[in-house]
Amino acid sequence: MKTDLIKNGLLGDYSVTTLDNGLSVYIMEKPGFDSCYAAFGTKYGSINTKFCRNGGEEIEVPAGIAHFLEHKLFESEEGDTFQRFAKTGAYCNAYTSFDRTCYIFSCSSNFSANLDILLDFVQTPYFTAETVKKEQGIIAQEIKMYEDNPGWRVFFNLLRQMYENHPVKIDIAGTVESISEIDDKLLFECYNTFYNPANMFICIAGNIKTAEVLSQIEKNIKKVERVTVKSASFCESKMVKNNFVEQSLEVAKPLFCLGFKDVFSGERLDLKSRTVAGIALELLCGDCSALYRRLQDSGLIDNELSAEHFQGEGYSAFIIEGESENPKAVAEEIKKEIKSFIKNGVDTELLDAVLKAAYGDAVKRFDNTDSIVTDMIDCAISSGGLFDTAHILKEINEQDIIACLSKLTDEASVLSVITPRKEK
Amino acid sequence: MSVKKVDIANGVQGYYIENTRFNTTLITYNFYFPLNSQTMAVDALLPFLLTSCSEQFKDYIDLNIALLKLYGADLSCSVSKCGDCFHTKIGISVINDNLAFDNDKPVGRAAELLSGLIFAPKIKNNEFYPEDTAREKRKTIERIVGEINNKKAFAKTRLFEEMFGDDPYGKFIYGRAEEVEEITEDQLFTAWQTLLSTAFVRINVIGKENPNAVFSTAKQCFENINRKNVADISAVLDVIENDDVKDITERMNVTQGKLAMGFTSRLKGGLKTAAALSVFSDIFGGGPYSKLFTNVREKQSLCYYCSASSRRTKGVLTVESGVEEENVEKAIKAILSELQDMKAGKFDDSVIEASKKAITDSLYSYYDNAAAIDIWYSREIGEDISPLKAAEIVMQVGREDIINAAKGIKLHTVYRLLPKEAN
Repeated sequence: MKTDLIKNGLLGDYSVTTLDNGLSVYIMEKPGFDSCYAAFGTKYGSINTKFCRNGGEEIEVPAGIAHFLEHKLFESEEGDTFQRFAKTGAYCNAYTSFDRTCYIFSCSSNFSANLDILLDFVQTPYFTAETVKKEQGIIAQEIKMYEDNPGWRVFFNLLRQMYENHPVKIDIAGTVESISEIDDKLLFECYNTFYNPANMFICIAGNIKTAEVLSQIEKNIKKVERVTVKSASFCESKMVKNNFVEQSLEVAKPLFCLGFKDVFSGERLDLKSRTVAGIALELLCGDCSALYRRLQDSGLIDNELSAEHFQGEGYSAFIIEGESENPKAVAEEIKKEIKSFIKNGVDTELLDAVLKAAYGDAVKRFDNTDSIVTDMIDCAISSGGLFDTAHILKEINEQDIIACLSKLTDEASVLSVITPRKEK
Repeated sequence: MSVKKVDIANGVQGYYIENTRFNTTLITYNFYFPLNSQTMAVDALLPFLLTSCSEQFKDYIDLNIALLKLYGADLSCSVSKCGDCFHTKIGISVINDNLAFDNDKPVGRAAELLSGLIFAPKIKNNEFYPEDTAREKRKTIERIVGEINNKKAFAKTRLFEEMFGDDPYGKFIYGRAEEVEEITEDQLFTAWQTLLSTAFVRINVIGKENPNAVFSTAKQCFENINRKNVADISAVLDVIENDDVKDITERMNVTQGKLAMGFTSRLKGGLKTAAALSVFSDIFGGGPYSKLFTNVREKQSLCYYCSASSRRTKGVLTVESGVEEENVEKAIKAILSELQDMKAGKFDDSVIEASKKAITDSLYSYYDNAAAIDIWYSREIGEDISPLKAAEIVMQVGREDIINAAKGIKLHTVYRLLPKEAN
């Protein structure tokens, strides 16, 4: 076991421990707090569909297994996990995203009992051919529900046009067809590969004692053989399939998502590139930008645009979402503004203000145990430390912003639109 | 966590809720005045207008830039009903002075920015500006349309309209789109003056910074305002009564039916009765161990969701459910049968314990969330009890108290929102 203590006089200290079996444990003690938040997760999400285990042959599995496993782990031979947490009064939940599956609880008493339940249910898979069959029906319903969700569709329609090979383009829950191929054998195979301690992490923040928690975890982590897993990388060019995609659904006003595909070498972008991307998007179309005022004044948009740097293993895209009667005109204005930034530079006073606000946002995250844990999970998956963003903000300058925005080219863009259904 | 109270002006209280665990300070101005159907749409639009620009920040971009320079301070604004009062909340959350750069004092600056928005708005000749009013009207109408599109919320809004009839509590807080269209700049000006001169005001400061600067800024602002006729907000709540159950069915373009049931509950009896009602409501339709979840949803598979919630400030309990049309009547019957079982004491002691643990666990966690503390100390304006004290009272609730709470529950209105019939 190896522990590093990372200190910060103003924001508090935290520790990162790697157990002998490879499990990473992040703990931040918040002595003044009443509650605790804990997550037990695996670096396994919807994009990990092709992989090699222990250096063996590459295998490909149907889409949607990570999410399927999340559903199934809440069941045990003794019954439902929610009922076990009900006895302690804790709140529990779980989620699957593109690159992770996390099981969480929050509580203000009985921490140790709750941690025992969390460690136990995540490490005790229980499924039979019958329970898997039943779950297929439930998940198929969930997938169908998302098919009608305009916010979800506008996003995945965009990803489908953007990515040729990368599984990020497939819905997190998979498709009705792909989940029909899932059986208990496949579930066990993926569980035994990705739910190995060496591929997992535990992140905790709250009123706890690090040494006590570490010893409880060490005692309760199952002794299993270490597994190495390597997910396949997917080759993507800068090109997108189509620059425009449209679908009709029940919406009052058209919804749009404008994305710019970004290709890079290596597995993941570093923290500085990710931080710069966020700042650049804020300057370009945030609620203080000249573009936002222009779009509002011309009546093209009524509400704020939301912008995100969407990134993970093997993918990166700049995505701007909003509502407008004329999405194509908004997209043209955004593209024009990017060119104007590249030509005329950045308003440095606004850049300073945006950096100051980003610093404030980074500080505020230490007020909530759930945001601390969310950030620890990011650290466990993408490397880096909790205090790194606040430092990196000091290094960002105008050139970084321009270099970042130069990647947002017309050829790499996709506009996805959801239009209102016409009355028959 | 300690609470210190300061009198700032007639009917204006300062509450300093000292909490050393946060890196931020939250300041909120809370205004309370009696609900009025005639002015509700104007009262609801006003705070959004006040927080969009001011005499100093002529438009929302100037204001947004000022917030960025305050280390990304969060400005917030909300309207709600608190019993028979309209409650307007305008607040700001900012990082503490010790985390700022170069001896900057963001907390004092945030307090000044906030009071500037409330006391020095952008007005000309006793009217707000037409372009600002038009923009905020547009946004309010979007909120109203959003509500109609959210069928679950819409069903509850319609239930309350039907349940309360002419009582302003039943009215949708933003009003109807046609009413919003007709709001004028001078009506807003009058509403603003009335708010400052007659509303009961509670200013909450939550954090570890000394609140004196915030309270003295407020004191100066209120000095120039005539506060002789402050609203009496301690008036007894109007409780609705009924003999027959109201039964409403409406049809819209929805795929899944929505069921909303409204019940009245006894209000009198103090904190212990209120605690018993919250445990009852949780066992009936709150947690994963609740009767509605385990029996109506899981065992009988009658609906997609089914839960109960109570509004103590108005003595109302509601049950909301998403249900296919063919199961609606079966679901209503099942829900009422579960209520009968509660009245007859048919629930396990283990469920009482689970429910009390869940409620107290969430009460303790209030202390770790500044926004939750603020809501706590602005909702319970009549009674100053801490979440900790409330948790103690919940722990004292016993089986008989829960049965008594159940016995006070009476069905008032059933509202169904069902798909349009196929042609």
